[in-house]
Parts: sequence; structure tokens; C-alpha cells
Amino acid sequence: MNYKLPVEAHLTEEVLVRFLDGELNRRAYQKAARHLDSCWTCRSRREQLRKAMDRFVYLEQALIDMDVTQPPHGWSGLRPGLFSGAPPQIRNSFIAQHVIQMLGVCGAALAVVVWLLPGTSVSAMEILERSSASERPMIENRPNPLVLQSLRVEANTQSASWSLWQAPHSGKFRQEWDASAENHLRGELEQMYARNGLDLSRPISASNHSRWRRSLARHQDIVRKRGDLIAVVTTSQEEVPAGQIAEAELWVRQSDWHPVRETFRIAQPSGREELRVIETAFKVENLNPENARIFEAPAPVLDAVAPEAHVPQAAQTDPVAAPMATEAALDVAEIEALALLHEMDADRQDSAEVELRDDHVEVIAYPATQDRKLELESHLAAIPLVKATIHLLNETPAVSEAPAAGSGAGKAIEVGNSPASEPLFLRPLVEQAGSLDVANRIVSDQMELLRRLCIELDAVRDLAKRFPDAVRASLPPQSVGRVDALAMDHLDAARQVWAELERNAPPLLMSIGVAGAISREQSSCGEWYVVPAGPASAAERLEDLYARAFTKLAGAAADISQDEVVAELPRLRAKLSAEFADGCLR
Amino acid sequence: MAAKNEFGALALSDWLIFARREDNEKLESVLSALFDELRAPLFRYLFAMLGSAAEAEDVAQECFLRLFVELRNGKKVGNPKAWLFRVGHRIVLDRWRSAPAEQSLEDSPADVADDRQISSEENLLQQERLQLMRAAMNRLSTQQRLCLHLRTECFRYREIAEILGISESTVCENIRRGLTRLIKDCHEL
Repeated sequence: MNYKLPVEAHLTEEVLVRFLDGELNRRAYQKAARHLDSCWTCRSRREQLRKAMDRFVYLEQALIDMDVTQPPHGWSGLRPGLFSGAPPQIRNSFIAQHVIQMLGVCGAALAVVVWLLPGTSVSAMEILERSSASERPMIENRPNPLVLQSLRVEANTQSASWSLWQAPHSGKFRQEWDASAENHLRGELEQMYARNGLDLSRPISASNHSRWRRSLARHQDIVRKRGDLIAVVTTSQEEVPAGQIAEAELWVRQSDWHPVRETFRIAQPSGREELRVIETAFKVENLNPENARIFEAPAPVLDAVAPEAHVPQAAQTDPVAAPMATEAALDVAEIEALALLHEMDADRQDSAEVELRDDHVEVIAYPATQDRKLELESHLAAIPLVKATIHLLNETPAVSEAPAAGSGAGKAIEVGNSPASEPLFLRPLVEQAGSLDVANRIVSDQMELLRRLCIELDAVRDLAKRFPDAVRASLPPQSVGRVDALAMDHLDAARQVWAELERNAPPLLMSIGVAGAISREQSSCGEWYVVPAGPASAAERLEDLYARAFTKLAGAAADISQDEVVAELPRLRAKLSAEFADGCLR
Repeated sequence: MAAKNEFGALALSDWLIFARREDNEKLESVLSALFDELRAPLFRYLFAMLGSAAEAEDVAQECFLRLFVELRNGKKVGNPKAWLFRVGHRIVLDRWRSAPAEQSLEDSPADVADDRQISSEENLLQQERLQLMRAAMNRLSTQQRLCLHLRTECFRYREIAEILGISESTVCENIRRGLTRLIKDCHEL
């Protein structure tokens, strides 16, 4: 005998890893858990991953225990030093004592080895050309692009943040530096770029590197590789005057040839000075009236009090979070994302959830197919301040319809011959329904309806918690309207689902022995904020009870008795009926 | 965001209050508790990165010193454990950067040959097992190993991403690839 459950394609390895690590959102976790309960293949893969985790913990600990034969011996001196006001001198490191002496030899050896590495067969010229070419589509594919870039500039003891906004088609440019008054990095960097004929508006770029490279009478190129990064190290073969670049090291991502870091070694009378420019964020978006305001805002140094129309401070220091990242802007972005996901039905079918971060709104979703993933990403990309993190749930497109009961062994839950291994109330239900097939269908349908009820009520609860009156008061009327419409939509859907659930419930309730009228006096309604007494929590518990009573999901029968189900079910029905009664919904 | 207790019995809210007050006495007791709580995991992590107990100890001490200075200067440290790991990670990267021949993220710290003398009395099977274990770990990239290691220290993906300066998706991908690699190598052990 088989117990039918909807069949889906196998879970991706990423989802399995996230499942084990507790890194899925609740809906995606439940979806994955349901699949795992019905799929031997995925369950086996999950167990393999779990064993690999155990294996890693064991190996890591064993290797550390073997290698570290004695406890660290310098700790005893650290504690008193920490509190004495004069921290103890850190013991000279291994590098300082030994490695520097060997650096010359090792460096030469490394250069040879790196040069000979098979993965670095690409030439310096090719890297520079590909990197230059990679910049063009990003700009050309947009009618009016806005390039946002955040950089960190480092010298020996100093570092500073540098942000740039550029609209190449309209020739607009703006930059901000975040550094203390005594920090002279900006001046040093600007002088260095000017002296060497580099374009300051493209601080890390293959074109800049190539321009400087061409200016050298004689030079040598070395290509280095580190993971996905590949570097062109160009060294002047002749003496260069003070202030000129003697060596430059441009690192690009091999996956898209985007330049991410450049190190300049500048000749000085006392030796070479190093200046590093490191990209921390990069984004290209369409220039629109909203984000174009960044070019209107005066520099904070000149005008400490920014007029209302100007871009807020948060956006000035992080161009990738532009155009604005105020609380109100984030609220609006969140509402837009929620509304869009609802319109696309992603909140129901893709376990999509929206999370508010410090400077952006993150959407996490688990679509079943690559096409759906792209669809979600492309729609979400249009909402400012929204970052989409879309994980593919299944390895292959999901099967649209479940096969007939009995087919697909291994994807259906089997009901054993022993009553002890069966769901608690399956046999009474089969008696009520007349056959196992009918019973299967009833349970399957009810479980699906309960899942939908949980999603709808969960959404209402989240909206009520996220946008209480105090927050709504600060929102534009249009956004308040969107939230209300969204909540009402979920409530309407929930009410319809509940009505259907109750219509189909009698056979199930009779098999449990709790059929009958619902006592409505016992329950209040409208407790959307209350956990665990609220309707969303009641629906979740009801789903859990049904799963334990009629299915073998989640270890169903193992830790619940028939008496508990019989006692709790009427209370939950009463609660939910009270919530959906006329005059209660609001 | 709810405050999490990242270091044993010490509540994060207490920690922040002490840090803001610049109450040296309390600060010392908090730092002392932190020191006891976190030095072992921090050392393990740095050792996994560096492959040298002496260097790991150096860097760990420097991390605690920097934390203390940070707090003395009235800076706010929301999650000291993640802060220490992040700073430790950057110190190691800086060392590698200044001595690139020594190490890179793609080299494994355990790549160095095991030159410890193993006495003839020791069980040959033990040696063989040790070599196989090293080999299995060496097949992981450094970033995979660090991501896996940080999971063993109970960091969430988001925290690991902050410590390593990579995206959360890359963290997950590293963990996935690392585990897949270990599954393939499991038969050897």
C-alpha cells in the first residue's frame, strides 16, 4: 500500500546544505522538509552531507590536536599586560624572525612557479584587453547608465573610503571621501594619478593600467593567479623618478574580467611606497530622476546641512546603496518588493520572503526552475534598494502533476503492515472514506489547504508586525494603501481556504471523533500580534496536528498521542473559526 | 535585531553598557571573560589559516589587544566574537600580502609536509591514517576549509561572509563544495 504525496524534483545540494545548517527561511525549510519526507534519494544525500559535516569536525579537531602538541605559551603574559595600560610587546612573529630572511629566495621561487602555473597561460595583454572589453557592455546595454563604485584606499598605516558616482552618457561625476582630517591619502592619490597621467574617474581599470604601461620605455609583465582572481604585474625596467609608478599590480576577476584591486608601488628617494585601491562594491543601474539627485547634492564638507531634496547622508557614503537608504525609503522598497512578489505569486509558490537589512532590502526566494529564478531576479532588479538572493530549490523543473498513487516507488510514503508504523488515525479514516485511495486524496488535499492557510495567515501576521500604526504614519499614502491591499488580499485568500478546509473536514474529524459544531464563545479574534495565541500560530499548530494524525511526516506519530489530538483539535478550530467569522476580520 | 549571547553567560547588553561607560574595572572583567571564552576558538581558527601554532598565537594576541584598544577608545563592538575573527582574518591576509610567497587563499596551510619525527614505536597504521586525514583536508581549498571551520564555531553564513569579506552565497557554495569533496574522500578514511 502506498500513501500518495505530491512529487517534486530533487532538492539542489545548496538547499540540502542550507537545510542542515538552518539557513533556509521557514517556508523554504518546510517545503524542503516535506520533500525530504517523501524522497529517499534526497534523504540519502542529506545524510551523506550530514556525515561529511561530522567528518570535518572530527578531522579538524584531530589535526589541530596532532599539530598543536603544546598549548600556546604566550597567553600568560598577555592578560596582565592588557590591563596594565601598557600592552605587552607582542612576541616577534615567525615571519619577522625567519621568513623575511628567506623572502628573497622564496619570492624568486614563487615568481618562477607562478609563471609556470598552467592556469596562468593567458597573457598580460589579453587580460588587459578582456578587462577593458568587459566594461563596455555594462555601459552600452543601458540607455542612461549610472555607475556606482565604493573603494578602499590603503597606504602603509592609513586607509580611507572613496565613493564614486558616474553617469558616462551625461558626463556627470561625483566623488566622496570618508577619511579623518589628518588622513592625507586623498591628496597623495590624486597627485599620484595626475603625475602618472591616470584617469581619476576610473580608479581601477585596465585602460588606466594600459595607459601607464604604454608610457614605459621598457617593462616586464608577470601574470599571477589566485582563485578566481588573476593579476597583471607590470614593472618598469628602467629607473623612474620619484613620485612615478615603478610597479603596478592590477587584479581582475577571471569570471567576468572586472578589475577589483590595483596596487601601485611608487618610487621615492627612501625606497618604494605602496598604495592600494580596492573595490568594495560596484553596481551599474539606470539613471532616473530619483538617483540622479546624487549629482545635485553638495559635498558635506561645504554644506553640513543638506537641503531636504538632496540625497540623504547614508547614500552619500555608500553609492551602491544609492539613491537613498533612509528608513522611509527602505520601508517603501520593502512594500514594493512584497507587493511585487505577491503579484508574481512568489510568496506562495517560491517561498519568497523579504528581510530588512541596514541599508537595503533583501528578498530571499527558492524557485523551482532556472526560468523562474531569472524572472524573479529581473523583476526585483527594477526596485531600488532591493537585493535579490534567489536560490534554486530543485535540480530539475518540478513535475507539474503528481503521479497516481502507487507509482514512483521511493517517492511515496509506504504504509506498512504493522499498525504501529501507520499514521495515528489512518485506519479509522480509511473506514470512513471507504478506500485507501480516497483517504489518501482527502488527506493530501487537506494538507495542501493547511499549507496555504499557513502561508496566508503568516503573511498577514508579518505585515501587522512589520507595519504597525507608528510606521504606517510615516509612510506615503500610496504605500499604506499597498500594505492594506496586500493584507486584505491575504486575508481573503485565507478565509476562502478556511471555508474549503471546513467543507472537506468532516471525514477527517469523524475519524478522530471530534466532529460537531464549533464552540465560538471560547475564542476571541483579531489577535494578529499574539504568539502563540494568534491565528497564524493556530493554523501552524493545526497543520502540525493533521500531519501527525494522518501522515508520517516529520516523525508524525512518534511523539503525540491520540488523546492529545482529540483534545487540541477542537480548540484550534474554534480559534480559527472565530477569526474568520463575520465582523472579526479587519 | 535581537541581541545574542555570543560568549557564555555574559549578556551582550551588559557588554555594550560596560563598553560605553568606559568603566575600566568592568571592562577588564568583561574582556577577561571574553578572553577566556574566545581565545581557544580564535586560536583554532587562526591555526587553521596559518598552519603554525606560534603565528596563530601571535595573531590571536594582537586581536585581543586591538579589541581592548578599540573599547578603551569608546568604540562600539556589537559582536565581539565575530569582530575578533574578522580582525584576525584580516591580519593574516595582511601578512600574506606583505609576504605573498608565504601563503595565499588558494594554498592550504596544511600543504607543508609533516616533518615531525614519528618514533618507530608508533603504530604504522596511525601514521597512515594521519597522512590520509591530512590529504583529505589538503584537498579542500583554504576558503572552503575556513568556511567549514567557522561553521564549527557556530557562526551563521552571514557572519562568516562578514569575517571573510565574501558574499553569503559564496559561503554556502564553499561549504557545499567542501562537503562534497569530503564525501568523495570519505572512503579513504
